[in-house]
Amino acid sequence: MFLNIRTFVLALFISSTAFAQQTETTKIDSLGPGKNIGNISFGPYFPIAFGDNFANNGLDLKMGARFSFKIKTTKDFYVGPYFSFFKSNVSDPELIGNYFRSNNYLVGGMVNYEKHIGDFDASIGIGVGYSTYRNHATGDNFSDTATAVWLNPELSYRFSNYLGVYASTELRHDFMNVNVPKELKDTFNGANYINISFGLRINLGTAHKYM
Amino acid sequence: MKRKHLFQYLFLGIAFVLQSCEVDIMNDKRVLVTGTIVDSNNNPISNISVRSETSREALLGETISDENGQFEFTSLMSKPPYNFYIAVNSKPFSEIWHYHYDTELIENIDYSAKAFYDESNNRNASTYHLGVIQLNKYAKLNLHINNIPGDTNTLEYKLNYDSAICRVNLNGNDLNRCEDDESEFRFLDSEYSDIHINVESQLGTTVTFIYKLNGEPEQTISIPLTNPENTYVFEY
Repeated sequence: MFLNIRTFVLALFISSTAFAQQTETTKIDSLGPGKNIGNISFGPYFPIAFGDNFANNGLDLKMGARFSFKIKTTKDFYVGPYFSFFKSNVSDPELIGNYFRSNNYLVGGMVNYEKHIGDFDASIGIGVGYSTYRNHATGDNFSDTATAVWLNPELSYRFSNYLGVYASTELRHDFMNVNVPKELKDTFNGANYINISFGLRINLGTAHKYM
Repeated sequence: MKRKHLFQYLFLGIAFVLQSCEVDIMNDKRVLVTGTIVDSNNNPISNISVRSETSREALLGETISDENGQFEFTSLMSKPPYNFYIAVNSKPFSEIWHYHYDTELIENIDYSAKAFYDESNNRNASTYHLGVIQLNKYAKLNLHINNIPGDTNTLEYKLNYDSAICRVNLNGNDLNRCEDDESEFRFLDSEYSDIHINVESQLGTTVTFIYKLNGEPEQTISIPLTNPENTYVFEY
């Protein structure tokens, strides 16, 4: 629990930093020559569940990975696919059922608003996707599915024209499709996460040379 | 020709993968299993195992009863046509179904066991409230059937009794009612001299011995199980 709070505070700090950067209006936004196509980012993904639900009370979450591809559309707006996964071990089978491992896969799309401030790129995005918990039980596998929505502030730093690093937080809710009795509704109706990711960002196009 | 074989192997490979992906646990489904375990004097029994399973031995959920005899756990659900079982004080039900006379399948041998089953294809139930589950003490009957030497009598017999692992239909009207266990009529001619039968049942219940001697009308003997070990000798 203490670890969750500590990580939550860290996530808020990163988020607030991203927002703070976003409010500064000192630099131009890809006004120079060249073409800004978008960017690809990928890196490890650290899920942190919170609230009274199966993910927080019954799973021991492990690290995963995240991949996003942002394609520039109109000014400052980007859209693109998003993929993430993480692993977990079942810590309370009496609460959530007798299986021992669960891998979550999320495939979706995002809309992002991004500002370029010096060597920093700050963005905030919302996403929706299909979340699958692939569960491993004795002698068999089965799945739980959900519709996931998330809010994703992200800050990245360009150390060259085409490469940078990013740090992001993700506030995510999975609307679970699991059919349960009313006694288990609180546990299986949904799952809440604050997920942290950092990694490499590849800027596509030539516009970043002039930012 | 080679390409044709390639497609054939590819098709077989895909078919194999699809076959091996067959699952017997329902996706997006959980059920709740609750109940209270008591002995024949209505005293709660703690540390009794309760397990839910499929007919393919996948363990779907498990717990043990607390000091009040109560239990509650979340279970996965088997996908029809595979059956859903809840086994109380017994090892996996798939083994019990075929070998339910074997007391090695009872975990706490001080008590009998119960095996609830749902064979229906309708798995809409989301909660299995099993209520008060009474586990009688385990009892055994050693039945000796002796043919007195020199006689040419023939004997047909069968036994009715409550098994030590009693089966209960989850879709039945009464979850306290065990399905009767009975043996088929067995014919013994004059060549049989001494038969020993072990009946594993529950303390306080009665074993009914039904027999026909030399084709005469049926006779019935009720043998009460008043001790953990009981012996009855039948001579003809």
